[in-house]
Amino acid sequence: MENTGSTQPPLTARAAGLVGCTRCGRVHHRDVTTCDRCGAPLVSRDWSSLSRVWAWWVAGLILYIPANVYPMLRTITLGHELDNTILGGVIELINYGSYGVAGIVFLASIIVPVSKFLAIAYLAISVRRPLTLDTRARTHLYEVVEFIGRWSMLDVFVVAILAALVQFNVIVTIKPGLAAISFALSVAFTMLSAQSFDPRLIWDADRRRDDTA
Amino acid sequence: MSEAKDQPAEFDVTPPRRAWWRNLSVVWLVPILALIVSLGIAWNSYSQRGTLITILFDSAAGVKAGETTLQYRDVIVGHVERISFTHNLDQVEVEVRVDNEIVPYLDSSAQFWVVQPEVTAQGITGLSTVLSGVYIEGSWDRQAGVAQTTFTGLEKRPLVDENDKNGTWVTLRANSGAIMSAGAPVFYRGVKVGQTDTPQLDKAGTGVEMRAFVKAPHDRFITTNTRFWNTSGFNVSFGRNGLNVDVQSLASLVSGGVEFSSFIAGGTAITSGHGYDLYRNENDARENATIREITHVVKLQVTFKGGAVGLTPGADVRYEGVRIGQVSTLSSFVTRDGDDVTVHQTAVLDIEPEQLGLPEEASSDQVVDLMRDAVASGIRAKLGRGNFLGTSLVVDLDKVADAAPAQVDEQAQPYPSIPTVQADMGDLNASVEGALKQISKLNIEGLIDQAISTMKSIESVAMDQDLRAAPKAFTDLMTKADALIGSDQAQALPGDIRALVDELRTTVAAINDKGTVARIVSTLETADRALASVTTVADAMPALVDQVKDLAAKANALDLQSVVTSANQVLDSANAVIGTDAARALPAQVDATLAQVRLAVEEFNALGTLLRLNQGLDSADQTLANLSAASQDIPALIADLRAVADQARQADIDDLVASVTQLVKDADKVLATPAARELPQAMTDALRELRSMLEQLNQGGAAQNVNAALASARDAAQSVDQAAQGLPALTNRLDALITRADAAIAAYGSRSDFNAETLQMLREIRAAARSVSTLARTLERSPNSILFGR
Repeated sequence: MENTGSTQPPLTARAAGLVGCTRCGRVHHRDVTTCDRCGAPLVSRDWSSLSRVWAWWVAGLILYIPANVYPMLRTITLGHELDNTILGGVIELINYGSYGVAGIVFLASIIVPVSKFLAIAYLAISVRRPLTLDTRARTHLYEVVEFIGRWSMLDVFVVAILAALVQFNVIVTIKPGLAAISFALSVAFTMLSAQSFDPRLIWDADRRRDDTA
Repeated sequence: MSEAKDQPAEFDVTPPRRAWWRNLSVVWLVPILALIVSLGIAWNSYSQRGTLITILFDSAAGVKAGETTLQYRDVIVGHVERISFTHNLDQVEVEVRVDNEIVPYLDSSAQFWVVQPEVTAQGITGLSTVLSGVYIEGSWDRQAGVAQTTFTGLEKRPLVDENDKNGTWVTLRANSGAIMSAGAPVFYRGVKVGQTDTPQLDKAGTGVEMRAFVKAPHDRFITTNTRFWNTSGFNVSFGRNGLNVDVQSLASLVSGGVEFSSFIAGGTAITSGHGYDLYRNENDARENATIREITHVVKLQVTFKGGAVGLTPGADVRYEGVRIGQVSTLSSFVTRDGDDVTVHQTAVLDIEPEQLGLPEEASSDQVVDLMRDAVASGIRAKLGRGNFLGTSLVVDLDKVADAAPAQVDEQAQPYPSIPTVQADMGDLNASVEGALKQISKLNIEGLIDQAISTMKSIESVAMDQDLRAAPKAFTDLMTKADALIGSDQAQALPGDIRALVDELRTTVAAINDKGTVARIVSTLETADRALASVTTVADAMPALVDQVKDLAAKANALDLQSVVTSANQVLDSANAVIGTDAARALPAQVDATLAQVRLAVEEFNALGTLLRLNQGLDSADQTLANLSAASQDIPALIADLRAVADQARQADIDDLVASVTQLVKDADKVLATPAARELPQAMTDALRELRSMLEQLNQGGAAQNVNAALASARDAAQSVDQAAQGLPALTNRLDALITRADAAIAAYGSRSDFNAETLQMLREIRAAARSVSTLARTLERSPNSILFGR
């Protein structure tokens, strides 16, 4: 942190008078407003992205509440209806002794989404305010968040597969609950939130800090 | 300044600060939408959450929070949310979240119970809970009332749904709950139209009440004139028309039933809750059908001198043979007149004025007026027999021709007293009743002693070697008979034997009383006189005398021998017969036989056999008088004649014994018929089928259980197990039935169609068992049919 930050700040495209296309990666002169190759609008720094990040983030958070309160799986066994919320399912798995599966579900459905919310919020705030974590680490964090986002869908996939496969009429039927939709939407919104974030802002914030320092 | 003129001053253009809301992206609509939707869903589920009610159960076997449902007419209307205890652990509190739309109906009429699989005589219920687990079922009327939130659950499904308004409730009353059975079908002309509830003691504890529900539209057949009676399902009666077998449905065979009918027309419609007496059987109901509801009785009393053994409360009071009421209470007191202590028995009579042709609400005075006139015309109260064979007594108000003048004692306390006359005790003693009355005073040893002494007297009469074997054989017979008499059924037997012996003794006494001995003595005197007169007479006569003597001796030896031999044979065969197991079931037959024997003895008396014997002696006397002139061996001849007389006496007894033997043999044959033997086997087969069926059901239910984890399956298996454990009781009941049927068959023999009918019934039972077994197998093969059947 100290050695990277203090020695020589990396040269950014903006500093070099260039702008990169976020879609295809082609580098243009800073005056060009539309990508020659793919036609995407070129913006050197997209400050409005933060607004979108927060919008998606809030939507994801709102939906994350019903996703945990309402049942994820509705298992109908011989006339019995058994509703399982995410956390309830985890507890039940622990009761059955399937600690491994319980751990995976807990990781994918609770830890990952929650840490994603925290990470995105942290990143969005860090752009505006000087924070301790240095730019490289924050870029890594952003990459991790973007990468791991899709894995939160694990639970949704499990529900989708179970609901499609387990349809034995009266004996056993599994239906997705309200939480499945909420959770899927919540994950999708957080992914959109992460994608709306312009990681280049991280570097500017770092530069400003360097300038002031 | 010049510099400033050369080029324009650098104008630092800062773009105007955009308003914060301009930065807002359309994307912000998404969280707003998400919020609205989330709040909408939250509100929706809150408003449709239903109402929480609490049901208290003694036990909540199989009820699980979150799983168990509340069902009304097989539709889920709520879920169990929580199970806890009341604060003092008295009861289980089950909290159920009930759909809002039915909450208004949950008023005081609501009943709840836990549905579990049940196997009863009426069928198998709750089978679906084997797989799906128990559920709580509710029942309430269709009128919204004051909604409650706390209810007390029933222990089990009510036998009849209280809230079924489509029918009529009646209350049946009886003295004993033995003729009532819970959940039994109610029949009208053999068609099931309702069901009974559980019998309960009435408030005073003096009777048993049971409610029964008759479904519409059949309840319109119930009027104030309707009679209800118990149908045991299997009724064997023996009467003038022969053996009568009445078999109701299989269910009522096991659990009993109630039938009703209106024997007399008229009567008005009733409202729910009307009370009826439950009669023991159809005949009782018919007999009482002529009497309308007894609402008013007038109490009178009668006092019998010397006690009235056999008179019981409830005995009929008859006026010249017509029943006019019944004995209400009995009391006795003792009076002393010098050394003479007399027992008096007072009976209070409930007289129904209607039966005397008086208005229903006639006062006591009106009845007393009528009685005064009746007594003036010679009516007196006396004890009579209830029926020909019964031991019960009734109070007869009959005209007594030579009655001493008497009148109704209107001052008697507590009720007006009707004068009585002493019943003809001799008549009573001579009757069957009289004989039966002595049973209690009888000891078997005395009876055997008497029998042995009787045999000894016979032995002493017939001085024959072969005859000596007879008493021993008879003693053996009596020893075996003693064992036989040990059984309860044989209780009636000693009385009859005693009566028979009494008859024999009175016969012997009569022989003495009627002067036979005197006549013989006089004959001897005559012979003596004759002997004195003919001492000098010729020697030619001995030849003739010898001839007569030879003839008599030959007859004597021959007949006596055969009599003794046949008696021995009879006794042996009787021994053999009694030794067999089959004979043990035959006390009733022996009873009947003895009755026949007694009739024969009476005939023997009535036909004047003794008279003829006396006549014979008279003629012998004359013969002797005629021969007196010539005879020298008169004593020998007289001895021979005595032997002949003895033989004549002996001969009748022998006939009687032979007829006993014949009857016993016949009875034995009846028992030995294949049909009679086949019956227990057939019953056993049927029971085995039934048991194996239940076992299959048990195994099938457990083995095919899809979800072994469901505790409900275990509960169900236990329930079926319990039901199977209940089978021995059923077996015992059927065993008792077999015994009864066995006795009935033995009584009637193979001639009747009784066997055929019984076998037919058993085949039906077996067929029913098979079809239930088939059901069990079907369930075993495809348990789905329970689920998808409907």
